[in-house]
Amino acid sequence: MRTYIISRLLLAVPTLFGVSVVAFLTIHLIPGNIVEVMLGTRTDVTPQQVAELNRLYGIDTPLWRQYLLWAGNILHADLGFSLRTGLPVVTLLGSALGVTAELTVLAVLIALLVAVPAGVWTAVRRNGPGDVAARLLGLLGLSIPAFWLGTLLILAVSIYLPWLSSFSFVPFLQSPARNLETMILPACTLGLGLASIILRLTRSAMLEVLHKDYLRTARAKGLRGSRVLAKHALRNALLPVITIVGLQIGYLLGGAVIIENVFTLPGVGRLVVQAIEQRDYPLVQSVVFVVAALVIVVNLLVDLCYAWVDPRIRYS
Amino acid sequence: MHGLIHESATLEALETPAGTSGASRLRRLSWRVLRANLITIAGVALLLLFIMAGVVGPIVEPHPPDTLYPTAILQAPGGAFPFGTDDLGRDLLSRILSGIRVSLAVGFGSIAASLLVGAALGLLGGYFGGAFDALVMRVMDVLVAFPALLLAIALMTMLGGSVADVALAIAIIYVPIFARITRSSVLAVCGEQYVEAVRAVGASHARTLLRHVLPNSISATIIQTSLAISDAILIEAALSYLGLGVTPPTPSLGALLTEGQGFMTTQPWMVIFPGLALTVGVFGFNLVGDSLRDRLDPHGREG
Repeated sequence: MRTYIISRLLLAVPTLFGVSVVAFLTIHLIPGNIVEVMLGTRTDVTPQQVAELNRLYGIDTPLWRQYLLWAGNILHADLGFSLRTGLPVVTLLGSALGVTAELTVLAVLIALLVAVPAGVWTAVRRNGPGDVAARLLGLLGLSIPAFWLGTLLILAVSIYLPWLSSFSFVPFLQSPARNLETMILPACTLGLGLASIILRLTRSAMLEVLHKDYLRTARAKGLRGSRVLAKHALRNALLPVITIVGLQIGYLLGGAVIIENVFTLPGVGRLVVQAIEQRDYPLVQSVVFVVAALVIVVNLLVDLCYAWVDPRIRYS
Repeated sequence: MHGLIHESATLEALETPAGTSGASRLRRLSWRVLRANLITIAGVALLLLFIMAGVVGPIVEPHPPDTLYPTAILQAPGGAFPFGTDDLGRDLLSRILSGIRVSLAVGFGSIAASLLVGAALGLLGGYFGGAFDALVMRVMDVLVAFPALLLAIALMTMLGGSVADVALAIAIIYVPIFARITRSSVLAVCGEQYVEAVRAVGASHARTLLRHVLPNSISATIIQTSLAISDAILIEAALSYLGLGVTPPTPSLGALLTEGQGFMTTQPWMVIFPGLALTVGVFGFNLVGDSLRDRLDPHGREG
């Protein structure tokens, strides 16, 4: 196990390095530089002031030195400052990550709650009308654009439940009830796509274990069907399902970007889109890097947990 | 009796209880044939609808998509404007038809480009191995670490707002996916004895790759294209919904939704129709992709 962990950690290092280079370059290859963008069409600045600003933002040095400076600062947990607000990126990102984390966790819970029982049911009733319907619904769930579904939900609420229709975000610690009230629709919207994925996974994982010998044994010794399903089949089928759900973190964070903008939740997705609108490039660069790094770390943890639970992985 | 059925342990036997009469077996069979084709038929129908709407759109559209009709602002669906008009008096149906064209151009364009580059990288990497393979795969690892939409957003900050720019951003996201799938089938094929035999009789690397390895390893990659196109269309719509996609006034389904949001409580058709068009297209590609995967790749790759 130790060699496996070490090898996986070592593999993550070049990936993190690459991610930082991509995040850095996408922002530094934009036409014009940060200072030009910031000044826009202003004509009341002298060339000396421009040079001063260039020096302040470090863009008078070669690109590789700028990268080293930025990457070096990241290693010291210094993500720099937002151009527009002057606040440290760490502060902005910290509060935004909390909102995004709550949204994704709620979405995962909702998706699991709906899709695992549905997956078991469709596997047991394989090829029946319900199975076909569930498969169609699952694909439909993957096809409906989240921002359209979110918009329709907001529309429906404003027509049918007008007293609910204030979507201004309230932090969880301030008022858990009000917070959940504003989070439930976004979480359902985000959870739908994931539920479709989980439904398919659970179904195929269940189909794989349903004709294993140990299930026949369990039935042969006289256990009830529901008990066999829950204790013997589902338990073994769920492990790969949970793992793959863990690996969907990238998909979920991508979805969260959209959902947060539909429901105007102050999460990471809203932060990054606003930063791009305001051309706050240092903020964009750091947020993009942190989110990608987060995905790498979570995927790594999921892999390690899986290898810990199922020793066969380590030796393959 | 049950014991015997379970002995034979094939799926078919498990599904067909012993003693089923001929008639009910036939009914079962026809249901299965229908079931197997239901998803394909539905998918092909939706897909044809979407593609026809994009291709024939310019011929059948009732009005030019950019023409303002000041006397028909925010008109409800019906009459001269089957899907209604927007706040500037533009015909929504015509704008949706143009938007579908953008969706199709970005979807097919981006996936064709990433298929070409990704399959080539996976083919060469898997076949030759070594430092080139290791380097390419590390770069692919980096690209897949980004959430797709976030990478697209980051790339759009440095690209312009043309249809080709959006397609390029999405193509970059899909290169690693096609490269990885192609590479893993190439690795499997290269272990086969016929590849060894071809090399032994003196075939060049190019001939081995193009005549033997490529045709035998490309099917898993091709299966993914339909699902990838549906994702690409969704990403394009999401980008333009966020205002980071194709530059207005070129209509894009995502941008139409954003425009409609301000009016949705009083003019709900402005958000309903663009989203519906998008869903029809994406659902079509997903259904076709799913039944392709079912038919050609029985092991079923998830995701």
